[in-house]
Amino acid sequence: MMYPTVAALPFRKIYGIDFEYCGKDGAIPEIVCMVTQDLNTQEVSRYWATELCEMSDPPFETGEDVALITYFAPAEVQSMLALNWSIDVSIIDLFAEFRCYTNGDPRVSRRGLVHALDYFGLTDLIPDEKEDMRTLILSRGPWNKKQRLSILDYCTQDVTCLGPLLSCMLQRMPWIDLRLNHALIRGRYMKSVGSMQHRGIPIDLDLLDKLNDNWDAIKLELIDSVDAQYGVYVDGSFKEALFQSYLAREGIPWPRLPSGRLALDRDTFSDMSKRYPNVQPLHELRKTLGEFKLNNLAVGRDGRNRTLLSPFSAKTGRNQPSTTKFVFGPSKWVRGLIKPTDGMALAYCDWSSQEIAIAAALSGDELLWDAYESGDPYIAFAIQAGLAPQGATKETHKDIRNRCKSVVLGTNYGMSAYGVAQAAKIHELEAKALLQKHRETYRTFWAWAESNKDRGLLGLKLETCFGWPIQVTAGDVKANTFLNWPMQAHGAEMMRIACILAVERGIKLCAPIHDALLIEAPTAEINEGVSRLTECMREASEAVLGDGKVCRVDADIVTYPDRYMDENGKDMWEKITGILAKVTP
Amino acid sequence: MAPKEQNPFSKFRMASDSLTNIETEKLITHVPVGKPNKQKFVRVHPDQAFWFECAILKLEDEQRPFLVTPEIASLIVQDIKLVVLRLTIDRQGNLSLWPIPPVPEEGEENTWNHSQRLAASLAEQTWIRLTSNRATGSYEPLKAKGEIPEPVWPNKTLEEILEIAFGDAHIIEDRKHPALQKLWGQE
Repeated sequence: MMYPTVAALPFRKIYGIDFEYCGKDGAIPEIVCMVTQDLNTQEVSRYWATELCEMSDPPFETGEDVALITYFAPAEVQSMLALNWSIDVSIIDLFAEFRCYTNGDPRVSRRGLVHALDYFGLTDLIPDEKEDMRTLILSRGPWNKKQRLSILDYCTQDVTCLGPLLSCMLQRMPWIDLRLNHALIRGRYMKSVGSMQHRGIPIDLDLLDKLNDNWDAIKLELIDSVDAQYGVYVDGSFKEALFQSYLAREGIPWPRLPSGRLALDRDTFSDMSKRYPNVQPLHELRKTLGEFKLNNLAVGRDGRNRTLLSPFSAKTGRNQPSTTKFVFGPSKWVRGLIKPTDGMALAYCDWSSQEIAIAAALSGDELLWDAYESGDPYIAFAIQAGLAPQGATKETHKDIRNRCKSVVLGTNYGMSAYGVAQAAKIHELEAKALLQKHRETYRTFWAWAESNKDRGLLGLKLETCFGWPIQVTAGDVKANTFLNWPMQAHGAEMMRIACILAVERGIKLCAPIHDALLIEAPTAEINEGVSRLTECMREASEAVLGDGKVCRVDADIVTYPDRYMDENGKDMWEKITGILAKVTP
Repeated sequence: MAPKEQNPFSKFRMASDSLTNIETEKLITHVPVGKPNKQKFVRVHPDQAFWFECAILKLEDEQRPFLVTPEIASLIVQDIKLVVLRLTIDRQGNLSLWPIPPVPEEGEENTWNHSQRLAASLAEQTWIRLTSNRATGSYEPLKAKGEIPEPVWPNKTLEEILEIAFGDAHIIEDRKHPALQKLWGQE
């Protein structure tokens, strides 16, 4: 079946929809108004918040055979959930579809509705006064009658362009059933994103408030505490000359800029802390002081971290939430603020070695799949490559396993021998030999990976099994982008399907974090919740990997009154909470 | 037992053709002629179809040797070397032609030459690298330890490889060839 026009789409009803809302970061949105348009009759319906709040059901038909056409649906879904409405509708999200048409095109860097309309030549439909109206809406009222009408007109503009925009997309190349179904899967994911943004992540609000109130004092104490072993801060400021003296004392050869000065950027610190672990606390301190502002976290007064998860933002289709507003964004110690509420528990479930499973399944490299299925792909590689004897384990061959781990993980990114050498702390020549072994052991994977790279470099389209594409026909291209893209993009598909299944099955999903999902449930039900989520994640992996192949899932449970803690942030967390106890009476 | 339900997303799954249907082939544009580098592990093609007995001429200041036809070879007997070119490959898949002196028809065998033949013969079965031992006056093959996968030979005939190695400019078929002019001082 082919769908060349909006009218041909197989829905009983099809509406364009947009909400206007306001509210503080982290809070449930306060609805201002909603406009819908029946795309078959073109009839427009406009509703002010007061009317909407009195409705127990949406003023349009619902059901799977009814489609809502949106531009960035999580906002609409969040609004519907805020109104306690059913979200039992199909969604075609034109933001996600616009990303599909343009992903990889360096000429399309902006992704708003205005830019999509411009891209498809619908310039006469571009709404004007965008900034003024946004400011007016975000002022949270009260609005006089004229202002209300202006807001409704503004919202109407954002709705009446949706039909023509969808129409343009269909005209460019009529959708077939498969293309439509892929759009609907993306729409289902947008629904689950709206649901997760509505739920949010439970945060220890009391502690966050205390940290915020005392942050200046904590910072100074923190500097004193960490700097004691370095002596590189004076009056709270990092001094390059003192750091240079420290490096000379310790005999650490630090990278320099062309100007001759020390390279002090985050990446250099990160690389050097792996090579010289003594530098790690200083790196953490600089990150905490330089990049972190506690009050940027988007936490509502109900103690939930809610922020845009920014689905489909990365080239790989992965989410790209704000690194300052989302609690998983800043330094890892901040995750200690995540705490289940009384009587509740959280579970952090992630796919084990997801990228290796994807690489093995999609390339059809049976040896690599055997390595994945063995449960320890790193020692399996060592055995398959003849670097460790049959029967070797993590315990018996720890050293070679660690080396092989750097190679196995690094090859997905096209890591050079130098990179592997840095990561595994081995000589570059040894890294070169290990990489050669990897190429020789997993020939099928490498042929597939090189083919993807060639395809990308030729400016051809690469596409995931559920239709997320990338095509780079202009600008500079990095070959390694295409080497890693299939693993990341299919990982994103896996995560999206798992979120869809979890939300549709009533699991209380709080957020996706790369290849992990965070859920909450009453303490007595958390084990069951984990089992149900694990099933969703296994099904999602099977959907992506095909041939009955399944990705393993690991789970960590945190029960009230315990808090979530990232292993790598534990030391800093203890340091900071220790200082807080000292500085507060 | 009830059959396992099909994954509901499977029907929307596309075969990942878009990720696999581009094939590229490494083009071989250069095949050096010479002994394997002493730091490279190599294998030698065991098939006799990849042996080529010939005469080569090496001029000073010229990195690439010349392949000489039998008629011309008879004119410059003092300057040419009779060799068997053997196809060789390293771990990275790079080809080369290894000129190995043949068994002398008469006279005493040179230990350097003899050891090269032995090393090449060993390299038909296993990865080796060639080192020299002045004390014994011979080359010594060092066998690679551990399991190294078998080489993947490119799909090329010996004629095609010779064409790449010598090209038109490095085959001497007549007396007017610039290399002979240089050799005879007629430049």
